[in-house]
Amino acid sequence: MKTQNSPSKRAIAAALSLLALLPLTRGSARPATAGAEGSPISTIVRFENFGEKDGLPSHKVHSVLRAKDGRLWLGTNNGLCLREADGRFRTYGTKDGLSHPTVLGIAEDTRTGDLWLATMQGLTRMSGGKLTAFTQTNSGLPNNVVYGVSVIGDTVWAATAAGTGALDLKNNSWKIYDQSNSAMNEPWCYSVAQGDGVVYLGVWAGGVVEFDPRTGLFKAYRDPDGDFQIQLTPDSGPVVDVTSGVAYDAGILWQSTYFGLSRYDTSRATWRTWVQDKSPLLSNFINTVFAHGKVAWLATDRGASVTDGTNWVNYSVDENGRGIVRTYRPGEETQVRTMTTALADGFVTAIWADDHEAWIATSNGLSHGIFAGPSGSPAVASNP
Amino acid sequence: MKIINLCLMALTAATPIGAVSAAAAGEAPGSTPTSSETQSLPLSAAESSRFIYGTPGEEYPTNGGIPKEFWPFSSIKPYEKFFVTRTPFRGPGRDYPPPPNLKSLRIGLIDSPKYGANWDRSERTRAGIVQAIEEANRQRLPGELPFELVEHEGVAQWGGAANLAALLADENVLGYLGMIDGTDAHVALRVTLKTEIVMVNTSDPDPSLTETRIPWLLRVLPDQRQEEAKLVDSIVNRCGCRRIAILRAGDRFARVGSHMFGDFVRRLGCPAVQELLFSPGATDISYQLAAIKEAQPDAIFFLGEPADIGLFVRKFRDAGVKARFFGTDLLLEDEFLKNAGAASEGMMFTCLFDPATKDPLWVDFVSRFKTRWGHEPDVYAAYAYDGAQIMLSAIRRAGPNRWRIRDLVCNLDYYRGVTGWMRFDGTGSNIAPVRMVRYEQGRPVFEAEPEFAPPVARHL
Amino acid sequence: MKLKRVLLPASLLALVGTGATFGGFTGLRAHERLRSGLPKLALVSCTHCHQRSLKTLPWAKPRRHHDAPDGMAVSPDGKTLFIALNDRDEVVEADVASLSVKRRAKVPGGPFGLALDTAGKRLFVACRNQDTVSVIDTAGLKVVASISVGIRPTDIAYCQTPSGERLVVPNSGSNDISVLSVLPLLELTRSAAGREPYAVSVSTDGRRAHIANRMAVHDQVLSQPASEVTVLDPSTGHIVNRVELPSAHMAEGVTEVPARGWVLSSMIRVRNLVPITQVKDGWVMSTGIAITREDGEATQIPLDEANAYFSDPSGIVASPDGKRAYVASGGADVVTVLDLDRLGAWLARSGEPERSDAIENMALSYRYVSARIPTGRNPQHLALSPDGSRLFVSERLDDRVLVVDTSSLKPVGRIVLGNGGLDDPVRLGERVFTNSRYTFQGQFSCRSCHPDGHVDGLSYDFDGAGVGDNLLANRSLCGVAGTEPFKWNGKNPTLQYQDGPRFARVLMRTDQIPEPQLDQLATFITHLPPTRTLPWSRVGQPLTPSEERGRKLFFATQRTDGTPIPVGRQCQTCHRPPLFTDRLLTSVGTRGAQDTTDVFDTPHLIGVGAMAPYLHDGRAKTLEEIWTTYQRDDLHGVSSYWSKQQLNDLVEYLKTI
Repeated sequence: MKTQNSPSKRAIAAALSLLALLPLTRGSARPATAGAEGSPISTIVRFENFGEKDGLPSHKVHSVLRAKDGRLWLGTNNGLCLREADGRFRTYGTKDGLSHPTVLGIAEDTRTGDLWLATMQGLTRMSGGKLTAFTQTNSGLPNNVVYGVSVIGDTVWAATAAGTGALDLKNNSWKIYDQSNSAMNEPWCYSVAQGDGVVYLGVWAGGVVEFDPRTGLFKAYRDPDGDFQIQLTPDSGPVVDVTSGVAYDAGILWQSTYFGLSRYDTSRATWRTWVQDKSPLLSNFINTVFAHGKVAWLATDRGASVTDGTNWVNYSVDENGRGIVRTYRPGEETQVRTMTTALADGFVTAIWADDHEAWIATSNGLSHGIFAGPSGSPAVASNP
Repeated sequence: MKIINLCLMALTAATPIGAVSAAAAGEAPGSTPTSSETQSLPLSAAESSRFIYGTPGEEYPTNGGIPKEFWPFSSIKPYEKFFVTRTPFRGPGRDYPPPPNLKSLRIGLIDSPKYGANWDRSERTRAGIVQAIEEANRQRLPGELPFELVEHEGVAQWGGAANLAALLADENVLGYLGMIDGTDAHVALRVTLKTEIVMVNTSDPDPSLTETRIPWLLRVLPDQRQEEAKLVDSIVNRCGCRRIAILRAGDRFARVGSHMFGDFVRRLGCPAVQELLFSPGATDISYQLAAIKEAQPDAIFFLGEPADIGLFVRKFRDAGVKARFFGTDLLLEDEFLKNAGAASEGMMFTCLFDPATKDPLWVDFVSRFKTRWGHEPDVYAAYAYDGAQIMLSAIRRAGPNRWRIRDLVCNLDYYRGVTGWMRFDGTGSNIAPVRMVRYEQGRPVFEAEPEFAPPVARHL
Repeated sequence: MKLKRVLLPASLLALVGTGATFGGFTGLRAHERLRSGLPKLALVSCTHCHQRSLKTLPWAKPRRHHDAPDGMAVSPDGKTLFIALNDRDEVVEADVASLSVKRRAKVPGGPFGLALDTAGKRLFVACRNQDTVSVIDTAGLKVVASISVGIRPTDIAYCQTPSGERLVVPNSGSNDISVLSVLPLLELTRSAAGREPYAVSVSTDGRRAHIANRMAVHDQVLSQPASEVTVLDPSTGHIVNRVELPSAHMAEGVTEVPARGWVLSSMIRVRNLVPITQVKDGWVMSTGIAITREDGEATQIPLDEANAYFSDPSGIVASPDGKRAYVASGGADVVTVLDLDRLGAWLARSGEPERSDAIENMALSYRYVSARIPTGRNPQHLALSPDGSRLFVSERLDDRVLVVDTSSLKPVGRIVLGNGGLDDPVRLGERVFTNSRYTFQGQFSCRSCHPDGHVDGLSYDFDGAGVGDNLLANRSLCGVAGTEPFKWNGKNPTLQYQDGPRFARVLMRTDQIPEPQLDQLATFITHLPPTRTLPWSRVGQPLTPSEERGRKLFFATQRTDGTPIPVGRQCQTCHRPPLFTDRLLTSVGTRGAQDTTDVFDTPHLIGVGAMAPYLHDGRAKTLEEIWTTYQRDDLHGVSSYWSKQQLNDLVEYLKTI
């Protein structure tokens, strides 16, 4: 069922597999699982890759979510895809009621088990296996191009090209937040994240907007220098206002951009920023960010990057198709190792991860990142 | 949907002419060109002198190529400078096979909504694009597929351009052209990142459009910073004006423009003494007139639709305002003179290129355009023609592969079009210099400027 | 001279009078044309628009209440029957042995659905009128707890799950399902259902709840509608399946069948796309049962026989041994008894094509229908004693509960709750409304298409030529008093005319309803109040900011930029308060290919939030679509200047009307 790399890539990977546990360059030798030691970052030791040959409806995967019931859902360029218990992929398309084949985002209403899908032509609800489309013509959705979706309490938040729409599921009523009634200076929204009692909106050219549903008040976090051409000073606010994604967990707000990464510690009200040439950040071009605990998983155009803001583990693919992992710890030299397997593609579009595994969506297939077990052995993949 | 099939010859199977070279792809260090990118076919002789591509790791001018005195925080070394190099597209696709059963090479166009001044400009834009496609189809070689324009009327409300951009992707266009409205261009651009279809914008000068680092955009219309820097330089440095007022429309274009203008005059030590808004189509501006008179400006910058500006200029002169008047390139449109009348005398504004040039490329284009459409091309038609030429050339050379087309479009450094040489910066914006114009006795007088051209060493 | 003295003033007076009359007539007509926005409007009376008040309408006046039995629950020992009296705000405790009422408890909010816990100590009540679930301690027969749920809960089921006790409540007005924990009484989830979730049944192991949704919906107006059986895990509140029942609507009852893995739901097989002329051939409506298996496969089987229909199937229960099911047909005053062994045998030997065509086979029901039990008027709810020996049938319009001995299928007697309200003309009208005796072969009643007097959400082909695609959307009868003329073409000046001879010929295909009954029917209809679309907690509360903005948009006389909106295109002109209709014919640019006119009767908007689909042929599935997909040249109000927020605001306001 696994996607096979090209023969040459396979041969190289096999040849290098014996060396996989050896550090290639710089720094003292550490066990392969050392990334897990002393930092909250789990380390991937192996990737299982899946592509069109395995049943994915498209090489391009835009979004990934593992639901509370353990089922894995993928938003692809050609439909919504479910990984069945037997590992096979089942696709739902427009003929099944999906509003558009391109599924850019997936959110779960953990209370009802419904999935909400952000597509290129509206929002789709999957409930009990049935797909129902909400568009800007048949509902209060602001615009049909929905980049991100999140379910927070009784509200479905849809980040669209013309504002963020909030569907109150109990009252079946919509509100739209844009530049006319919120702290946004432009209506173009990209993502929504749940904070502690607040909602964060990732706004294209508008930084991050915080909305408190209890008070109805907005607060904008904006690039302090207000200029796209430069970052005047580090760690003083969002790296730039062009937000590609927001994620929140454990009191930490992360903002991904195409210019770098920003982190806001809500308890201390402090910012940190990273740009690629001045930090371990793999690439400034971050498609989106996923937060788990205090760790952020970054989907960049050069691979996947994981950080808690201090330690970094970067997974990339070299020119020969080999998987490279770079580990950074403060005060230590960078470890660079090859892996026996590599990400399906270096252009990473979305990530879902927990303490046990990571699912990494790329522009050329899906990767299952298998973590090191407690004893240093690879954890057993357990996708039902 | 209106599909304009401009096929002039029988349809035959596609034969892509070639793929872009790695150098042409202009990948920054760290990107990994695919094997297809390493194949190279020479440009045709006619084209080779007009396309100059970037080289990997090449550094580009920042801040729209304007003088440093206009830059933000120009006296401070920033922690990080963006756009020094160009953002590559590192995703896959360049080796993907062509779409099956291709019968034409589709290019999308999003027009403006059918009302307002932008509709007329959109029509002129469309004329330039249609002209380019018709000519390309006439010049097709045997075996080449025809180009086909897939056109949609814009929907101004509710982010409609995003929906249209998504629709064009469903219609399998290889790239698309447009748009005039800044909001439309922005929302459509965001879609390109997901659909991976390159956009050549021919009509929106907003700097922030290309400052998004989405590597699927090239803008051929000169960057608004060039215009406004030129204006402010003329107002402050050349004319010696110090008390500058701004009267602008309330739309996004004017908001962005006046914000930039305000920054520029402030950085030259002359913060605007007054900034007032008007509603498009307003006839009563007595409040704005009184307030601006009160501020005693020696220069007034007008930003809005030419018809409105023409009316206001006349009212201001009639009210005895002696300040110098300035505006943008839109004032070349007839509506301004029609309303301004004699009050246009001495009005200074920018012009993106010199339509009075004797450049054979331009002269020949004007002649062909007049034959086809019965009138001369304006700035929108001219840049649309140039933008379409870049797109058509890229499709011809890359074949029906959106990623290789993107490489050819987005890695251009210089392009020689009917409007002259263009210079693309690290954001993909044309930062070629503009020039000043003034009305004298109801006629535009273009100020002489040295012709812009790429450095000789790079000019092949 | 004398004559002159008389003639001159008389002539002058006549002249002035004529002038005044003519001038007044001209002025009046000018006024009406100006205010209506209809330049060719013929003269209408002043009271057509003025002097109209909701307070004077029949439905707004105090009315009689009756002891109609609704939901029922039987105690675990089978000795006590609890009966919800929605119209009385009461729950009755009756002794089964003596067929007598023991106690009555006041339960505010319109109790409608009942469920008992396993021990029979707590009675859970779904209160339809005030959107609550109440808990009654059966010992004291007193309400001990209450909680808000969605709009118009119509049923309730209790079960024990691994996560604890759960209540499942279908909220018919808000199209969702509440799942509650019992201790504490909390709403855990509220999941989207189909349209009008109406009845619920849980499996004995508490693993699954099945919810019957009363309304069918369609993707497009000319597509086949379908209703849904929603399958829910009471433990988690998650929706696990949505079983589609094509062309099935009015599913008002659902029951699990022990030991068979079946779920039965009552239904009307509706063929709204078939020309209404086909009533005479039995092609428009028939009744049936949907059998849904655990794997989600559903088979529809007929309840009717050739030339004998059992309209408006509603309550349904299955015996504890899984051998029988009972279905109440409210329009036919019959309970049908199904032999499930025989049904199971037929299912087992039938192939897929046979099963999928079964609902059309009117000769099939004899295979599994073992008896038809006559009942009193309008049986709707059923209950069965835990041992299956007693069947209880709510004879709603007789204010009685019929008790049937299931071994003999003979009546044991009746629990009398009231006098049937024979002296109340409204009640008499409801009897006409709910009974199918007035239609050809008793195929359907008024209620079949107008549940609770409202709409069934379908468009019907009223094309007399039988071409088959000239659809007209069903219109609500709720709040219809005072909005005459009726019908989309506005040709019927009274309800009696509307439901009179022509109606009998076109739709009922039989003799017209006799005059006295026709008057009673009209009386009943005019007493139907508008459908409540807001949660009870919102009724009488100020508009939200969004609703208020929408209200201003509705009454706007100019665009945001100050441009005047022509009178004829202001919302308030045609949808003139207080009825939100000017009761005139207007063109809003919606003429379809098969329509013979541009102009249609302006519908009233009271309760419009629950009246989907919209426009005369039901082409707009949502209110939004009226102004997005189906607006043309600003003919249906000037909407081209609206932002999406403004449209959303308007929709929010409309939902409050």
